[in-house]
Order: sequence, then structure tokens, then C-alpha cells
Amino acid sequence: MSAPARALVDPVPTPRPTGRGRPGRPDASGRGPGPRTSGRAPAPATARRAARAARAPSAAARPARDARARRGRLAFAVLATAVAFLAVTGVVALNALVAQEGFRIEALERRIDGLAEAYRVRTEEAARLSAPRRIAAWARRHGMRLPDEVHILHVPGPDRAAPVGEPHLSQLALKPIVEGAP
Amino acid sequence: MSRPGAVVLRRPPAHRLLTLLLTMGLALFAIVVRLVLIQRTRTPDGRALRVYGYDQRVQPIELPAWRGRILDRNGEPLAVSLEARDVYADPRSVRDPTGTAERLARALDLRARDVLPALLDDPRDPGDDTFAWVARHVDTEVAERIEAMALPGIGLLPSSRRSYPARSVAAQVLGFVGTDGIGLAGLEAGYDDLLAGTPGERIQETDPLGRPIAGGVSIVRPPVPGSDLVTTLDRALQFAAEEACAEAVRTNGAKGGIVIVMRPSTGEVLAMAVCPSFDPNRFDEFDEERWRNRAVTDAFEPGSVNKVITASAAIEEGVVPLDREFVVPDEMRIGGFTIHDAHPHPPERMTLADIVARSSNIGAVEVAQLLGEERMAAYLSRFGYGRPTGVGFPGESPGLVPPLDQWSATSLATMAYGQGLAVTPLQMAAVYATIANGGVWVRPRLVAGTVGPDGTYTPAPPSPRRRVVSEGTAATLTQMLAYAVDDGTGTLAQIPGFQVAGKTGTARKPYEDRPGYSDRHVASFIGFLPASRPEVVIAAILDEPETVYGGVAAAPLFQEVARYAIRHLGIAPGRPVPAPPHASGLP
Repeated sequence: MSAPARALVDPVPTPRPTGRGRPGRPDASGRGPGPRTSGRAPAPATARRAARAARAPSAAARPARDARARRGRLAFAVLATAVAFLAVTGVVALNALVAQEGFRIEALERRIDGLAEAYRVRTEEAARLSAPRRIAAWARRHGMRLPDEVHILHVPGPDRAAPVGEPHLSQLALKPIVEGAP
Repeated sequence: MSRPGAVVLRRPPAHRLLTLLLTMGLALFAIVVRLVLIQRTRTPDGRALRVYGYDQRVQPIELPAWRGRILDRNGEPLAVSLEARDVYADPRSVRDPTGTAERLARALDLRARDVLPALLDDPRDPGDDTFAWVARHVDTEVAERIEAMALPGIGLLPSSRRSYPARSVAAQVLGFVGTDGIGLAGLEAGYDDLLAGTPGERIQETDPLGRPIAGGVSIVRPPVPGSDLVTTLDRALQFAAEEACAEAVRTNGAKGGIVIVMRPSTGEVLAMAVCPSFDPNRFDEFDEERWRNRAVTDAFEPGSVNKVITASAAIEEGVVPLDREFVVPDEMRIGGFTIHDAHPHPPERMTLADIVARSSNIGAVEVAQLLGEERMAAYLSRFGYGRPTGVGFPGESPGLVPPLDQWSATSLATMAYGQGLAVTPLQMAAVYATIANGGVWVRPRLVAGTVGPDGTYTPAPPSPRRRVVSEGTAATLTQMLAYAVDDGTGTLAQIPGFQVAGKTGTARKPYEDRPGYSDRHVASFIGFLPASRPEVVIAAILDEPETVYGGVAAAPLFQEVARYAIRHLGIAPGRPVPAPPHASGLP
């Protein structure tokens, strides 16, 4: 029961317990608590009331204790709220970071896809523009044509295939001409 | 005892709380029981409702794999895939079908009346009335315009389209893919598994509106793109061969033509032109006859180009000394039939080289008779007749060579000069490649290698090879074939500065619906150059030309392609090969 409620239902001040009058543990027979230091019989009802009255805080001490309790509860509430707020904020922030990274990854993947597609389109375009039929048509429109004959220039000297790794005879024949060139 | 005026707080009666708790517990229990019952309930098809629920929430979406490219030997793209969109309609959601059709037709460059049926919800149609294709494989730019229109009931789906940037170049070799991206012809069909890749899958939990649920089931299995196919074709040479073929077909009034360019040492096919051709970007606008790669799928009676096998067998078997002279009339009667030479002539003295160079049918028959049926049949088989070359092209024809036990009285004679059997142009080109390669047959091939999704190039294994005739026999045949071009029927194939070895062929075409031969012909010239060190083998074939002789119709086509090949491939002239023993040169 809270302190104000106790105040409402039990307005009679309870006397403060004195000295060693604290209730003791139940005895071995289980018949209830008794004074620790005496082996006397249980106290009569008037004595119990007196003891209860003695245990109740005095009117002067109660507001101070309530104020401490309120401060304690307030501190707990503030702390709990702060912890909860921090936890929620942390989770939300972490979630937002994850989502942000997810969006970034998604955007990058889209960009990769876009660039890959652009590459494919450019490749196709390049192949289309360099297609022999298109070039031939363009060349024909501009009056170009393939040469009629294949002209072969024979280098003087015996015509035989060179062994692997050795210069061909034609290269040897050309050597003095090339080296003599200015 | 409380004082008067004081507020007394009482605990609610425990039985009320208990009643409330029990009520809530019972309600919760009822919900749980109902939930379990629903979960366990099975539909008439035996599936639990939870399975249906799962299927509704969790949608597997196929992630299509990019189809690999087809490249020429230099890495030039011959077939590529591009991003596209498919446009569909939900007829029940289309508000203004006519107006929508007109707007779509403008964007798609179609007629509104062609678009409209897809937008109409026809109650008589028992099919699906919630989905209809409007257009497939639409360019992304066009798709963006359609998307911007925000037409009710019109949607877009991602797809891809196949593009052949060089258009008709190598169309019959490449083939094409269908609407669903599956190869339907050519290399596209033959290597579909390699090119198609493996589709991926995205399994995602979505809300009733199809939006992904954050934190729900989300599994992505990325697709594996298809590999690139690197062909042995040379795009420029292929184009030149096609241009020359088309021009020859026009000039000779022919029905069609075929040109094959091969490297004899490796079996690589550098060009395989079939004309008339078609544009695989719009394959459905062309007659199906044009789709066929007749260089591989169709067999024809080769005619005199087949005499090279007769002569090879005779030399290899030593049945005809090279300086032996035959007395060759212009006709001969065999098995009740009369066989003629192409031109009438008095009986002439001819060596084997003369028979080849002048393309004498009667001379070839005389040689074949010395050879015999068994040996003739064996050499036809050794040169690869009667079975596919294994070039790796779908639908390759094995040709048609009658089994030896079904040969008639005239079979040996007619086969000696290339009638009564059928081969594909590629088989025939491979025969000449064998001679050019010193007597070693090399399997022709169209694929140089593949490039995997990670960019690793894997070359195709080298073509299998086998010796068919000895090197000496091949060298002698080369001399005879060079002699045929220098001083025989193939003079129109000569190229100044180069010695060409080759043979003309003129074959009558059999009737398609009855036995016997028609007046239609196939003219051909197959040869290689330079004769002493062959770099390329070229087969030039014209179907039903007005000028029927191979030496007149097909030899110039060979020459045209050979000239381009010399320039493009940088072929150097070799040494001249000596002339074989021939009648005019004998003492």
C-alpha cells in the first residue's frame, strides 16, 4: 500500500519502536515471532498495539521519507525513460542505417545494371556502325571500290621458306635497302 | 475504521477479474482452435490452406539470365542481347480501349486495329481475360514513353531482345531466337544451353498489393549469364563472300548460291555464305526456305568435283600410272544407259591429269572400272561421305551414299564423276581441304571457343584429324588440280600472281518426285590457294544457274572470293607446282 493510501485508511500515528523491540524470527514451534532476548509468553493485545504504534513513523519523519521515495521513483522513471529512449533511438538509428545502406546497395546495383546495359547498347551500336554492309554502302556512295588486281611485289632472291626463327630471305634482301635508307 | 469524508480505495472484486480473464482466455482459445482448424483444412486438390496462404504471400520471381553473345574470330559481335520490355494489358482494367489502342499504337509504331484486340475483354473468349500481350521485346526508350502515359490496364514486364548488328551477315549460320529467347535455328539453337545461361530466382514475401514486406522472406539466387560463343567466322570475309555470292546469283540468274571458305590445316570455317540470305532481326518476314544453312543441311549431287576422289583412290591404290594414256571417247554405254562427256569430241588420248583437268566423265569411268566397286566405296567413306562432318551445326545432313550392296550396274560409273550420290557442300569442301592438307582429313568447325561469365576464354579442342591418302598422293592431286586451273576447265578461277588448284563441277539435279534427272544443274568450283602452300579452301556453288557449267558460272565466284581472301588474310603467293604428266607433254 502506498504511503498516502496508508495515511487515508490509517490516520492514527503509530509509535516508533524502541530499543530492541523488533519482531524476532518465528520460533522452532512455528507459533510466531517473539522477542529475541526474552523467553516470556506472547504480549497481550494492548502491548501489540503499543508495539505497532511504536513501529509507525512519527508525523515529522513521514514527509521526508515520502519526498525521498518520490525522488527515487522520479529518478527511476527518468532513468528508465532515458534508457528506453536511448534503446529505441539506437534501434531505430541502427535500422535506419541498415536501411540506408540497403538503399545505397540497391542504388549501386541499379547503377551497375544501368552501366552494364549501357555497355551492351554501345557494343551493339559499335557493331552496327562497323558492320561491313554499312561501311561498304557508305564507301560505294562515295565512289570507292575494291582494287581490281592483287599486286605482288617480289623481292629478288631464291624463294624458299625460312626455317623457324630465322629471317626470311626476302627480309635479308631488304636489309641493305632499309639500312641504306636515309 | 476510516474517518468520515476520507476516500477509500477498494480492490476490484477478484471474481470480476477472473471472469474477464476467463472470457479473454476462451476467446483466445477459440481463435487458436479456429486457426488450427483452418491451417489443417485441406482443399479438394489436397493442399492445405496454409500452403495457399504461403503461395499468396511468398512470390518466386524468375530472374532471367543474360544470353551470351556470338562473336566472330576477331571478337566482333554477331549477336547480342539488349534490355527490353514486354507490354501487356489487363482488358478488365482498360477504361478506354479505343483511345488506349491509338496511343499505344503511336508509341509502338503499330496500327491501332492491331493493338485493339488485346485490350478488349471478349466475353466469348474462354481464355484468360486478365492478361494479353500487346507487344514483346520493346525498346526501353519506347517502354519509358508508354510507362509515362500511365494508361490504366497497361503494364510492362522486363525482358530482353536479341540483336544481330551485322544484319544478314552469317544469318543462316547464326540462326535466331524465338519470342521467349530460345534458340530456334543455327548456332543459336545448337548452342542454346551454353548461350542461355541459368535463370536465377528471387523469393520474396509481399503484401496483398505486391509490395515487399520488410523483414519478410527474401531469398535471391542470382542468375548465371550465358557464355559467349566465339566462332571461327571472319565477319569481313563472310560479308565479302555473301556479296560475291549474291552478285553471282544475280549475274547467272541462279536460284541460290553457297560459298565456304576454310583453313585446311585447322578445319576452321572462315566464311559460310548462303544466298539469298535474310535478316535474323526480322526473320519472320522472310520465307522459311531462306532460314536453312544449306551448306550443311542440304545434300546435292556433286558432279565432276567428285572426280578428285576417283583420282585420289586410283593414285593411292596404284592402279593407274600417272603417265598411262587412256583412249577416251565422248560416250560410253553401261548397264543399258549411255554416259556422255560434257562436250562431244573424237576419241582422245588422256592421262589421269588430263581426265581431271578436262573433266572427262568417260575417262573417270574408265579409271573407276580399274579401281573396282569395293575400293571406290571405301574411298568415298574415307573422305567422309555418308556421315555428318561433326561441324557442330544442328540438323547437319550426312549426305546420301548408297550402301555397296545396293549399287546398280551404273553406280560405280556415275559415282566416278559425282552423280548417283549426294553430299553437303561442307563435306565436299572438306574433301578438298584434305588434299590441301597433305592427305589428312580435318573435321571442319565453326566454334573457336567460349568466353565464360567470368571472362575466361576456353578454346575449343583441336579438330580430330585422320590420314586419308598419303602425302605423295595429295601432292600429285594438287598438281593435277593446279593443271586443271592453268590449262583445263577452271581457267576462269586463275588469279594473277597466284597458282590456284581446283576443279569444276557441273551436276544435273534429279527430279524431286520421280526417278531420273532434270535439265536443272548445280555448277560448282572448289579449290585452294596457293597451290604449293594452301592457306584457304574455297567452295563456290551455284544452284540452277542459266549458264550451267561450273567453269563458267562458279569459277568467277571462286576467283572473286579468293581475291578478297588474299587481301584480307594477307596470303602470300607460293612457288608454282610442276605440271603432272599430261598427254600434250608426253613424248
